Amino acid sequence: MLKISHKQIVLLLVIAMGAIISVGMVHAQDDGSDCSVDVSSDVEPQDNSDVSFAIILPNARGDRSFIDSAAAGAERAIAELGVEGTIIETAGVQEHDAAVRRAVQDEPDLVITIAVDESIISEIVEEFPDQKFAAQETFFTEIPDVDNLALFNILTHENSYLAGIAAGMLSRTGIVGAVGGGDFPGINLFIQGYEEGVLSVCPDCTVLRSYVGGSNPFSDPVRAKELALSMYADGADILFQVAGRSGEGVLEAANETGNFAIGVDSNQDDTFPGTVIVSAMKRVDNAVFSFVESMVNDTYTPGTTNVGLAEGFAGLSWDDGICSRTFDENGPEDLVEKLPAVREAIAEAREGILSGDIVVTNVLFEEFDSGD
Amino acid sequence: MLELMVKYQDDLRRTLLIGGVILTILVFVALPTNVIQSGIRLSTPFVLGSLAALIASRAGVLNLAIEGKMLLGSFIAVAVLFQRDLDPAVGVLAATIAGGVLGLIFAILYLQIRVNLIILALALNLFVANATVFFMRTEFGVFGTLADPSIRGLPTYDLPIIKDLPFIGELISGYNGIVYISWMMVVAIWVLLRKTQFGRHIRAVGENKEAAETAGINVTRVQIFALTLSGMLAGFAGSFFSLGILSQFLENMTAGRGWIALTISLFALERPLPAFFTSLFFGFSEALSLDLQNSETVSFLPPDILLLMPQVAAIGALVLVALRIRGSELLKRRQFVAQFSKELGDLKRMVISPGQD
Repeated sequence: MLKISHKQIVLLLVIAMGAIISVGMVHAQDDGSDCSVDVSSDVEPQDNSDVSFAIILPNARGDRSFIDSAAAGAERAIAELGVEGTIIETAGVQEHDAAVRRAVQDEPDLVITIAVDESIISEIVEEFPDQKFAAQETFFTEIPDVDNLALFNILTHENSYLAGIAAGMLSRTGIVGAVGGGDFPGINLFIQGYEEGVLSVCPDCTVLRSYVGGSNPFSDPVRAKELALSMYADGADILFQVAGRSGEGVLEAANETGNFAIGVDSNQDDTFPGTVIVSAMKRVDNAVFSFVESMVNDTYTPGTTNVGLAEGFAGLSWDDGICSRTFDENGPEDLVEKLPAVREAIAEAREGILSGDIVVTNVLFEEFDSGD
Repeated sequence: MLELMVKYQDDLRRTLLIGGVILTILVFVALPTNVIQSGIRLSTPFVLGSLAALIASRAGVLNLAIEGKMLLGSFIAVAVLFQRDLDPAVGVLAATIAGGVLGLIFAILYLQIRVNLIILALALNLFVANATVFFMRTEFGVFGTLADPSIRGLPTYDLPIIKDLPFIGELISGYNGIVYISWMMVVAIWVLLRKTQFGRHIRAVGENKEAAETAGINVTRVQIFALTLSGMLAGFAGSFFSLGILSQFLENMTAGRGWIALTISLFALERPLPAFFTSLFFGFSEALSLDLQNSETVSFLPPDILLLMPQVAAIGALVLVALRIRGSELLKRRQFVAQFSKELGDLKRMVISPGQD
């Protein structure tokens, strides 16, 4: 019999832990290449330490997508407005209910939830009528009739339409595609807008549409990569990913096969320079910041507010303020040449959308307000 | 029916195997090249994971920690390479060793300290899932995704002669090293279990621990070895996610594939060759379900139904396997009775009326 004493086991464990730690002993790289034209640095930090908020993230940070965006918004609010803020990360949907309730117990002025399920929000807002809530990224079939819940409805079909114009004009094969996490209205909002954008500039283009699906639709990059490879093999050369963390797989597939991709939510242009053409940004950070600001300015208004291109809550990574030019510098020549024309077309379409001449289908409204 | 099964037992077994081979060939002929390649890539972690699961099961330990060991492998592979400009093979090697160390720790905790097996395995899975997130934050300062230009994916190799074969060439050539090694491992594990003394020891321990101990086999040593090997295979499989398919680590990137590998091993009755074919089956169905979404003939179906296909296929296959196990049990009983009916009869007579001879 092999005899191992407890001391030896502890020693072994310590060695193993040491090995793991030493492997990790590399310092994080400093990423200073951002073309950030945010006005944030000029603003004098205010002192509003009497105002407090808590924000509940639906999952851990690191999706390089809307969760990171929301966290960035919260951090900006804490830094610029000088409020007391708590960022709470959860490990998944099973913790949402408890996390929101826990946050309410601390009685902050505002509780912001990101992509927490409708049923949880509806129940809690009625249970705590004195607590102000803001529920971003929750898609309500029926918004509870209470005066302590605010949310922004970010019209991402509008900027997806603009991204679609870029895809339609830059595609070499005439086939482009979209990869969604799952077949949900919140995802199809992007894809429908994108499709319409592609077809507006390239009526003969084919738009493929696929979903990652599976048990982890938004955190299975392996599956998403294989899906994207299959679409590129079918002739698509530009894919728009709307799949959260799974989207990393789509971007990798584009990079590996020498094709192109369009990022989503956050500015993903720099993940693979020269591969990611543009990102259709959903400014969840602006939403979070606005919620906090409304508490500071005492302008909190319950109910839904529709915001989109006009208010700067939806846009492209090429827009002023972010001015990503990564693809101009790293993209292939024949596509870079076309970029000025693409930007012109996008500017035109933006005018059209803002003035109401172009109406992009809103899947969410179509499903829930079909009576209009 | 049963008599026929008894009579043609060997032929029946052969037919099943030949059927599997024919099915595989059909799949190769019928599916487009890119789906097959995708299927082979998707099946590779299943192949390695199910080998990891079955080697532990064969030694009598149900290894529920495959998922955690895979995830550790994925993380270590990338963490070692981060900003060190090393060859990706180093990452794979480190992942394999890390998996082995975790397997060893698992074995010691289970066999020496006698921690409850199930609780230990689940705790280990949770520990790895959260430890990777923790170290990504504290050591690398990143949230959720660990990527860097210094982390390169494994290169793909064309097999020298095979790649020139007319049809098969492009299907079984052009993958990275892990894919080829996974195929070799199937044979290697088969040889280990079937042809070596140590393999016989593993099987003996798994079949009946007490009997093996009585026969002089060092049960603990055999199990520790099997669990370490199992961990190495799982860690190796994990590196395939982060360096073989992608070239970055993402939080919880194994996405439950360790559990599927465990199912495959159970499904294949803990034998290497059937586990290989089952893995291929799972890989192909997943690849096909992804590809079919853009196929013109079936694109009218909702994507959810197509994505459900692997699960439906798995349930169907599980029913078939269950029937086969039931059938073979019945068979064994029948055979036993047929073979020893005379002896049994004699014995009965002796018990009922002793001393009347």
